[in-house]
Amino acid sequence: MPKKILLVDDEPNILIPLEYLLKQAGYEVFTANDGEEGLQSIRARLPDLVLLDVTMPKLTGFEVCETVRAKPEWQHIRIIMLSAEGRAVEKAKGLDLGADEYMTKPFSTRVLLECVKNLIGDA
Amino acid sequence: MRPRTLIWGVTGFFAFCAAALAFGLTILWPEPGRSGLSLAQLALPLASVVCLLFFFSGWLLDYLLAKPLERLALQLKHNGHRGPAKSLSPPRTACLGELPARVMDMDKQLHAVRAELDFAVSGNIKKSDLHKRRLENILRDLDKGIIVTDKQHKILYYNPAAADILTEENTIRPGAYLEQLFAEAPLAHALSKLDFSQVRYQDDNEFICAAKGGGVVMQCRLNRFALDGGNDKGLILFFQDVTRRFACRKQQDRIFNMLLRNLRRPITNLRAVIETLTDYPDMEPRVIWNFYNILKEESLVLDKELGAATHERTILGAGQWFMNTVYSDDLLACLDERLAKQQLVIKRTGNPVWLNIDSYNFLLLLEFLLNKLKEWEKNHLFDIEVYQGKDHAYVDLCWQGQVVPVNILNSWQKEQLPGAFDAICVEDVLNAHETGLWSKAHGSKPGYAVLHLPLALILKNPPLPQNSLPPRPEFYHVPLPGISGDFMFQQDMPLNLLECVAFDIETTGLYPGQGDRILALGAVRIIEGKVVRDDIFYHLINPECPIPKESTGFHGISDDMVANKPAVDKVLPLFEEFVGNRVLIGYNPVFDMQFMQHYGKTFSEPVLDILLLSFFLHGDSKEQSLEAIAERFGVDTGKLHSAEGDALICADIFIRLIELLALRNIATLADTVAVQREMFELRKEQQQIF
Repeated sequence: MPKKILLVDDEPNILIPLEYLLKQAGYEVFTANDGEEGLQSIRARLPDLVLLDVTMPKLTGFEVCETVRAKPEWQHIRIIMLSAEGRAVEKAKGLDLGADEYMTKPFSTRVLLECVKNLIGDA
Repeated sequence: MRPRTLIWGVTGFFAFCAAALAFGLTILWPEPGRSGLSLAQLALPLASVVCLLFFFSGWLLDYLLAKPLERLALQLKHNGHRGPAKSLSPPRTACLGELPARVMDMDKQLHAVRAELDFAVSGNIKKSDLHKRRLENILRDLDKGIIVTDKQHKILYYNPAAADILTEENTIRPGAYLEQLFAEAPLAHALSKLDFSQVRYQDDNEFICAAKGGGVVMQCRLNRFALDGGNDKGLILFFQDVTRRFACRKQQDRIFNMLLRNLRRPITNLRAVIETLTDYPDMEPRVIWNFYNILKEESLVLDKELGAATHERTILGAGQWFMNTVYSDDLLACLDERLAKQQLVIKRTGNPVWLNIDSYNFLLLLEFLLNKLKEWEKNHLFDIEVYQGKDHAYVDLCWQGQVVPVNILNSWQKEQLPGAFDAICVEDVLNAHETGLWSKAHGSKPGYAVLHLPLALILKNPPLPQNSLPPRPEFYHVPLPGISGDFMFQQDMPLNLLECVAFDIETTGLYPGQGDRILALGAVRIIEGKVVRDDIFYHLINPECPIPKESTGFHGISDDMVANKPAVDKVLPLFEEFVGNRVLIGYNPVFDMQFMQHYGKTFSEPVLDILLLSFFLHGDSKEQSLEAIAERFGVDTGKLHSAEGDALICADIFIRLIELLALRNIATLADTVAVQREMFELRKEQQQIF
């Protein structure tokens, strides 16, 4: 059974190529357009990894990450935060809240895929 | 007592005694004696002879001794303040022998010694003044503000740049506190850092601070220094106006942050799409189509963001030109010089105005346009008319010929400006000056066309004429007020502690009784031996009559300049308020006083005369004009012949006079008034004699 990845971003233009890319790599991919929808999707699908944008409507990526890490039953979920904010303080905050990786936009899709594989292994 | 009075007094007294004795004898012994003559008969002729003898000897003493001595004394008195008089010979009389010649020789020697001494003293004063002036000029011309305070942060000194930088609401003045001028929190922090720091910082305690009323942002540097070499530590604050730079930097930061934030997303998306397309070339057409749409959308986003940033950068760039205020005549004089080698002749018309321009680049622009017009119109004769319109100042290039079509003008705008730094285009210079090229037919000259350059209007008075002017005559027909009333308490006060006001007026002529009027009144305070340059009283006055042209030539004040100004009866009360209870100082102030008295002003305050005091110190000098005195004392005469400038010059001269008067033991107000009174009488007498 393929590993499940959830993509949470309010930018459809990043969701489309990333979804295609991860599916091509063999993962089962779901998408959500804001933080709230992301949390619902986590609850419903229980993914192995979440690719989480920071700046989003309703709930920010930081809030989603904090919620996930607060639930013992979700501790196994790996989180990669993707952010347009390149400041060191945001990166530190993201990692402190429990993200496994923090990538600043723009990033290379190959590096991202590598990072995914490192965290959850091949599909 | 004068010698002549004494001689005639003594002679008269003895003659009176002889007459009284004869009269007494006549009454006491009226009977004749054995010889047949009564005592009365003998006494009367005897008394007459004695009286005659007394009177004759009195006349002889007066003629041979007293009169020559008095003449000698008078000559010495005059010479004392005029130099050895070559035209006057010493009185010759046998009774005085060689005394007059010897005395005159001694007088000459005394003058020679005094001249040497004066020369040496003035040489040293000039030298120290030169250094002082250089330092003052450096401080005056410095565009950074400097404030020196005592340990309580009370302002002791500041330079003109300090007053320029601080806004009007925060008017700087001696005695004000730093905290009244600068935002307290950053200032307090800088002071704490200065007091508690264990190390000396490389940035010398620099900080950014706003003026108290807001508006101006300043980059400041604060240091402590020993006041008068003692233990008391004052503060020295250097600061410069960085409002514009600060705003530009904020703007630049904002643009940079906006670019960082707004470009990350589209670039991320583009990169993801391109990398996916490259990695999976056999993608389904439907997916490829989606990817192409993303590429199109994100390219548009990039284009929009970049356009916005470029626009902001252009606006920001316009704020970074070296704009300054330039008098149009000066600019055109520079242009004349540049065009001399290019077979271009320009004729200047119109009235000069102040322009706010980047003078170098604007000069290049005019040169470029004239050369282009020369090529296009085959004309080398141009008029340049500068004038002030309602909302703009205009620089018009005018020539005989056709209007330049818009497409030609547009092509010129795109060209690079020859000689400009950093590949600047004509359009850049035009944009920076918020103007453009506009050609049209000349409004009043048929067959002529103009190229119109509207510029921002700067309202500022024209510079004063710099002609060399003859000195005005000296006036001594009204005595100068002495010390009376409240000033009695100040009569023993040293001059350097007196509070004074130096003043001057400009007029339509010399005689108020003949209808001449006051045109301007300028005054400046001297407090504790320092001229308060930033609190100058200056008012133009409407004379309510046309100003004679020759008078305008002296002071540069024209009818237009005073048309909307108050009348003299409105300005004199303001002047009295400015003077308060202070001693007045002027150059031959009798001239100014007669005008003010004509309008009812009374003078209860003592008035000191720069001319008379200079005359006391340097009576040998022939030149006693204000300009000559100023030059002798090393005072800058830049604004000569303006009421404001002359008042400042008088104040500066007075400061230097204080030191020299002290060398002659004239240290107090009473001493000065006394010596001035003596000089007044002497000068008045000399005017009548010579």
